[in-house]
Amino acid sequence: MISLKGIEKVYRTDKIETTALRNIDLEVAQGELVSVMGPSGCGKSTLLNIMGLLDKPTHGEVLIENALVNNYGDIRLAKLRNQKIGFIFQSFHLINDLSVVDNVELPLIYRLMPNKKRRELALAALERVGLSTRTRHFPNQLSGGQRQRVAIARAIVGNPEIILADEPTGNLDSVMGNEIMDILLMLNQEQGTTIVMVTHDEHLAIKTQRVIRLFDGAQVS
Amino acid sequence: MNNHLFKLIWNRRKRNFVTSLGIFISFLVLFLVLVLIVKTMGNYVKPIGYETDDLWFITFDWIDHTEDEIKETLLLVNQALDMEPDIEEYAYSRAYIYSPMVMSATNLSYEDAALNCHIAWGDASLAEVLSIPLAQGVWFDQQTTPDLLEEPIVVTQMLVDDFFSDGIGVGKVLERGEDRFKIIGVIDEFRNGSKFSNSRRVIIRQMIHNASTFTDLGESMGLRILLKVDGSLDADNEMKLIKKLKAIASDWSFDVRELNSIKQSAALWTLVFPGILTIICIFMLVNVGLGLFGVIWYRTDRRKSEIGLRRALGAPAHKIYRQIIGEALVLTTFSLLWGSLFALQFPLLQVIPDIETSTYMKAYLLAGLIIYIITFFCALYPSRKATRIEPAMALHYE
Ligand SMILES: Nc1ncnc2c1ncn2[C@@H]1O[C@H](COP(=O)(O)OP(=O)(O)OP(=O)(O)O)[C@@H](O)[C@H]1O
Ligand SMILES: [Mg+2]
Repeated sequence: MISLKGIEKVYRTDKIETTALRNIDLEVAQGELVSVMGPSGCGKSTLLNIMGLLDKPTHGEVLIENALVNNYGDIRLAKLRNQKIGFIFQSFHLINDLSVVDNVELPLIYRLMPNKKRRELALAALERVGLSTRTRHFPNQLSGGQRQRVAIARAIVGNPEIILADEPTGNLDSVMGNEIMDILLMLNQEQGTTIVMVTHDEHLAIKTQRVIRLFDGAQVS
Repeated sequence: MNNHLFKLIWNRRKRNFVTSLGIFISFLVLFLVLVLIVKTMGNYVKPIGYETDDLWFITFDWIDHTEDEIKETLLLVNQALDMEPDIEEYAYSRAYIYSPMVMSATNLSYEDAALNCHIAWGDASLAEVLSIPLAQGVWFDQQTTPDLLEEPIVVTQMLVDDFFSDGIGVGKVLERGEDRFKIIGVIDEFRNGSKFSNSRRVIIRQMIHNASTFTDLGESMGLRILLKVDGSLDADNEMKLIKKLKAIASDWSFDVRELNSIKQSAALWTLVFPGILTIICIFMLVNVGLGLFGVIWYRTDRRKSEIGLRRALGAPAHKIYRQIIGEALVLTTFSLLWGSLFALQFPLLQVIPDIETSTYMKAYLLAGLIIYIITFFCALYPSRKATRIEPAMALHYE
């Protein structure tokens, strides 16, 4: 599904050069649920961003479904992100000026379809994360757990094959964190969605099929 | 996408209100200034009502003379002018041609209507000297002594249009207290100021200057003898003419000039007011533009993470670009719709007198267009910058 070959990522600013990732060779198979662990600053988010085509590696190859995407132009990359990948972030990244359902519709805005269809899909996605009663609310009227569920609904509304979640439970207490984890497990088991999840929580990592451990930009297991 | 834009703008209406108000106000101010500019430019292409090529004029200054002495001198001046081979014809006038600042005005009435009208004086030759075409009726006649009870006047078409619903001026009598003025002729236009000045309701009263009658001379200011020359009158001839006139009345001062020599300064005078407004308006637009630019830039900067998110969810750079510009244009459209409601009141309630609906329409369209262009250009650079936002970086921000 996703393969990374010889990935290296170097951040260059005026004075300093930071190597965020080095020599990463990684394969995530279709339908896998993988967690990524490691201390703060070891490059987990960077890795996820590269998998999600949000960032380009300094060296190495990124393949999505065996297609090398390194040289794709902006429009093709955007299309891949839009159709194949769903993102979930630690800090939710909802647009506060849009209602819950409008937030969920966001990825569909960049697809050609009638407004009515968008609305239907968004409501269905909210239903699946158990938020059908909050569709007209605004993000700041929701609890953290509810916000993250909105973000999950947004990630799944376009029916992507891959979900990339960067510490989805990082801002939540353990009860809410477990709820979110259950939704991800359900998606993986029922839909066969490939999920890569960054987490600091060993209890959650245990529930995944495989744990990738990073240390100082390198894969240690 | 459009739906989405409207929703975003509506949901952010509180923040957008101030920007919208700014656009709204500048639209209205621009609209009003453009009404004036369109009107002034429209004047320029309209006929002015007379021709001034090969025309010279004499102005006088007499000091401490009785009316009889003045008449006598002017009759001698007439004789001298009659003798000049280069002068084809001459006419007395108090018509303030190319003198935008002076013109006497009065209220005249017809039946129940009373309107402010400008007054000029001219003698029987004036129409010919100035090549004024008559639309209806006749010009004054040298031979017939005018009826003192119903003084003959020639009026402009605008006066006819404003006073008489049947469109016929000749034969109608206008009143001012005890005075009665009978219209004998109608001319299309008589815009004395310059090519840029507005059409007016003008009445022209007859000046008579012969041995038996001399129209009340009042003071020398404004009185001009217009000379139609055959084109060969030059500075030399001018000096000779002044000398001859001086020989008639040594204590008078005479000045002879080409009428077209004051044409340009007259035009400038009529452009002073629109000019000042235009400069103020440009200044205002530059300010509005800079303000708008700042607001759009600042807001786009504040929205980095939103833009990063959109990129992550699959928005290609060009859609971000279009969104930022689109939002600015939609916001402008809202402001203009709102502004249109106000702008519409001007022609409906005729807030400014004597402005045609077509002038309002042109000013309205032009103002809208200019505002759109300004917003477009103000949004251009910030939206350019927005497309360069790296999604990974932007999402890092919060
Ligand atoms: N835009 C950037 N410019 C420069 N350095 C960066 C940038 N983004 C990340 N880094 C550096 O790259 C390294 C990896 O960062 P990354 O965000 O991937 O870590 P992380 O494992 O996600 O950490 P955390 O668990 O705290 O989220 C860090 O040392 C960080 O300082
Ligand atoms: Mg991170």
